[in-house]
Amino acid sequence: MKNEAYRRLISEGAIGLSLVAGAYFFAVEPLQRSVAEARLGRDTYFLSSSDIDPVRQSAEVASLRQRVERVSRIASMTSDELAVMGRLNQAAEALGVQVQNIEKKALPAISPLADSSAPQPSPALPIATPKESRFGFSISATGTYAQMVSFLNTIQNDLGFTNIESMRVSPAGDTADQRVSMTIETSHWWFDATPAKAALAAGTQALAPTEPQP
Amino acid sequence: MSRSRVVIEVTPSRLEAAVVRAGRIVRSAAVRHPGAPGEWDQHWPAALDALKQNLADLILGLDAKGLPAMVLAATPTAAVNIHACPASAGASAASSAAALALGNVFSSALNEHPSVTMPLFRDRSAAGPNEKPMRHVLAAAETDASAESIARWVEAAGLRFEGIFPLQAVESIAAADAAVGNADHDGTRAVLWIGEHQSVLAVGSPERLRFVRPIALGTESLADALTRPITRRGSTDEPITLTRDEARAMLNRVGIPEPSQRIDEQRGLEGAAILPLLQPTLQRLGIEVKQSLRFGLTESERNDTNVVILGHGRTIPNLRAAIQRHLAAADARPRNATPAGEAADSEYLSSDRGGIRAFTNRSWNPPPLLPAARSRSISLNRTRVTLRVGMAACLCLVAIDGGAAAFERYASAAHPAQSDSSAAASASSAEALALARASESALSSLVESRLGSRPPIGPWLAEVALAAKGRVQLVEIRSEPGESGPVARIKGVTLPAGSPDQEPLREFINLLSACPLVNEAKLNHTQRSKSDDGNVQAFEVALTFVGLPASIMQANADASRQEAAP
Repeated sequence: MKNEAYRRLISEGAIGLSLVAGAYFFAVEPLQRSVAEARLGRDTYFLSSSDIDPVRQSAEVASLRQRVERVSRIASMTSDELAVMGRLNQAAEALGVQVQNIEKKALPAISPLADSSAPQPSPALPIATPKESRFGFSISATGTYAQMVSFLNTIQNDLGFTNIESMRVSPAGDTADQRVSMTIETSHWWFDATPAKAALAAGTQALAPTEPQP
Repeated sequence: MSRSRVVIEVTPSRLEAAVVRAGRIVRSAAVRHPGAPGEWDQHWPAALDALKQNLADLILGLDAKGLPAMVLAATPTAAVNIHACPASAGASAASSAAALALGNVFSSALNEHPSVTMPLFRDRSAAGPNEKPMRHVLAAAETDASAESIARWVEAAGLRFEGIFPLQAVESIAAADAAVGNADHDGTRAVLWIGEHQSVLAVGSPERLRFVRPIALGTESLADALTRPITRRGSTDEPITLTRDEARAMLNRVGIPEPSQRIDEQRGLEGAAILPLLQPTLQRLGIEVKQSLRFGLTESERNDTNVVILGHGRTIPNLRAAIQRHLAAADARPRNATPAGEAADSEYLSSDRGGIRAFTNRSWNPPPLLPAARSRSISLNRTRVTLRVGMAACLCLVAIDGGAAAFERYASAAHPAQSDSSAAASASSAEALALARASESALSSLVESRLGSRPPIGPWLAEVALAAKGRVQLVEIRSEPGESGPVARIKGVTLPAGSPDQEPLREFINLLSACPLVNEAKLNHTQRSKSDDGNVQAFEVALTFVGLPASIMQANADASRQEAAP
């Protein structure tokens, strides 16, 4: 009697334990696993699709926009040949440099870049090489060394994307007055920043809903 | 709401049942049953069978069927002991010591039978400088067979068996409580609880419980004495023999009479006829009390001892005076005895004087003694209930857990559009950002590639002019594109040296080499010749430059413009 009672109690305990464990492992655990997998998948997807938070994304877009605007502004200085020529004359006159001759120089066709160093984040991204153009001048001028230095500085710094391809300086006649003759050949580049601006505008618009409220 | 219970008191001569609620007797009933104490002891526990119908009738009359029942039983197999040990030993040690002491007086092995220990009193002070305060523990035991018989007997009457407690233990506790409980006296109090079949003498003060000892005499001993043949003074008639009921009735009616007191008009009996029968019992009772006081108390304590009679003995007229006469030699002063009066048997049966009243009066609920099988069964039932509650709780938790998981799954399945749109928005913004990055990178890379690294030509021309000043005359400066940036060739003629140590060409080259914009200044060729002013050198120096990326050149230009701006 005594042993039977203990056996019944132990049996009840074992049945109860089995019931609880069975209910957990057959009903709850698969559900939890399914939910955990769904969570993991969702988190993975979010992490892969947005590796940085919206605030950083917005900051990055702002920085990119600033750089593109700067390129666009500088490029706009060399968009017109006549304007560049006019500014060259203005600078020479302002610096006391006597320009004997400015003539447009024939330049070879722009060779395509061997390989684009621009990163391609995805083959699906429609990144086109920006448009570009260039023209050049051959300039002959006379002045002192100091005037020539200032003139060169102005050409290199204030006339947009400009390269001084070659230069020849020699004394101009009498060496006593320290004047020199200078012949330079320049090239002026123009780059089209419009596609980059459009891409940034699209990026800004896409990020707008996720930007934090002030 | 407090539940009702039935408390049953069963002795060799009486059966009483009371319905108790909240420590108060609601209703009670009692019956006498035939049989002498000797027969009770001899036929125990079979003697209970004769009381089955009596108990059933009582319970029916009290309308108490189905209630839990506690039994206070005066059985020959029970053992009760009050043990004292130093209070400093602790409650657990005192309990163990009391159990050990009980084992010495119990007829069987204590661990095979139901037993219980309970703290009774803890002395507040020691009896003397060399004494210690004591902890008094009551230990009680009953044989398993007796306990099981009582349980079956109670259940046969339609009650639920709750447990048993020895009647002697109840009386001992009641006497001890009365001895120490009331603080309305300063001295020592001796409480003589006179029961039906046994008595208890407890001596103590509010500070200390001195001793508790049983006395194997009770009111039934006096009734027994009156069942012996009574011979009338000066009469040759046959002696009168009273039945037990008649003897009880006479005892309760006349108690301990005066010798000349007329106690039975019909039979012509006077007190002198029964006093010789009562005297031996009274004498034994007196001696027991007197000896106990003599050995348990000092003379000064005895002088200050107040003797109180409680229990069934209080209903016996003149019993107090009779005991007082016997205690006179011990200088104890019996007080607070029952006023003399007529006490009917109905009053004698009343619960007011019995163990039930003592049991219900006390605030504690003594742990009942249970037969081993029932104790195991109760323990198993409790374990089973706990197990089921635990399982139910576990199942609830599992259900809650499962419900939460199912809800989360349902929620994610029910609103895919929301998560999809969030993901799509996130993906869209990431893609747009990548496109913006790539576009800017393409533009910047194109600018860098076309313009390349180049030296700031104006500053290096200024450096050349400065280095030449006073040292060389520049003939031609030519800059042309080289493999790794522009290369300049400087042709010139050294000026005549002011001193033999002066080396204008070397100084010119050194100054150019020290210029931060110049990567290398190398003398291509030199030719010495003579002029009107002396020896001169014609030379050609090649310069390579440190190129700066277009972005840095433009940044420098921006900075220069900002500085020049007003």
